[in-house]
Amino acid sequence: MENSKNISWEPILKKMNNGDKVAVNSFILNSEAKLYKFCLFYIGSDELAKDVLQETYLKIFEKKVKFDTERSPLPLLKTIAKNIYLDLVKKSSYAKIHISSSQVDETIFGSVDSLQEREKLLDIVKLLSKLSEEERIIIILIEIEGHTYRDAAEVAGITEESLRMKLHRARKTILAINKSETVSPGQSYIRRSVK
Amino acid sequence: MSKYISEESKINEFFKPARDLEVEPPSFIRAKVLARLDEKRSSFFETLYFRRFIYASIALFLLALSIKVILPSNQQIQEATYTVGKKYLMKVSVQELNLDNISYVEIIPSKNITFLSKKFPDVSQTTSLKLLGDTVKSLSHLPIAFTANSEGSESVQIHFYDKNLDIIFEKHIQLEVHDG
Repeated sequence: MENSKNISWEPILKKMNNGDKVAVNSFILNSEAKLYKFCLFYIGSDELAKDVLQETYLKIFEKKVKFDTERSPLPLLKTIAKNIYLDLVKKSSYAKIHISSSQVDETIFGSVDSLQEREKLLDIVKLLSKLSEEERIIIILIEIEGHTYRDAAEVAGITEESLRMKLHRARKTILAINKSETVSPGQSYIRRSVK
Repeated sequence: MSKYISEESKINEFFKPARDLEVEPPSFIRAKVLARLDEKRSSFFETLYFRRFIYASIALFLLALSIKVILPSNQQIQEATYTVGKKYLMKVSVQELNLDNISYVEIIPSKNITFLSKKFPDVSQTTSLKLLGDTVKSLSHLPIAFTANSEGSESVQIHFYDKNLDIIFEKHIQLEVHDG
């Protein structure tokens, strides 16, 4: 689960809130991989994921965001990344980059050695791209990143109760997509991946 | 119910490769963010420079006044004075410090102090110097070559960090710089 690999954020966040330059480096080092992974699945494009990652950190430091030292900063980082991406999508120049199954970046997992693993990951991104933006973010946060319902609801900007309902619906949508669509003849996303 | 559980486990299994995936973002992103942050900070300090200069002058004036009032007239204060544009080598003793747990040392000069080095001329462009703890442990003193660019009250701060990035020792060196 998301929290199992977490480091102790408290001392880093305390120093960062006081403007400590060394803590900033440590903060990025400890959060960038998780935030980058979130961006990759959420956005479906490596280039755009890198842009959003960079903009997220810049926004945090420029706006001097104060973190709750008793909580992981990742939900807040992901919320900011999500909002930056949605802002980009709204702008006309980026509108055509909006994720869709036909526009998923096929090279997105180029660094993964195994071809089979790459295909599985690509299937996941393609399936995610068929969900609504809200369903996609809920599925990523719960199924992939293992966030608590509380944290996931915070990032999605909805209540916990609403999240449970929407998660149930998103799972149904995934099964429906899986039933109706095939990746290659005779193979559904899920069947192919599980095999 | 069992159908629901089986569907849930299917979904769970489907996303497993994504859960197991470990990615590493390119290091240039961190470098870029830190560089942009440094830029912002330096421009922020530039705009505040004159205000800080005035505050520092007032503080120095008050300090000088209080010293004159408090100290007996036959007592003299010796201050290290420096001349603008001259090259100096300052040796800061670290012998008295227990450097066993030192991770690194950061030397931060005030705005008008520039580092000098024959071997590494680029050092004059840096706003702070970081030395690894192991390097410092082998020294009896820290040699700091510098020059002052304008007159006034300047300083050099030295921070000694441990592995948790906590400052465990600090040295503050005050420099009075005079024009030729």
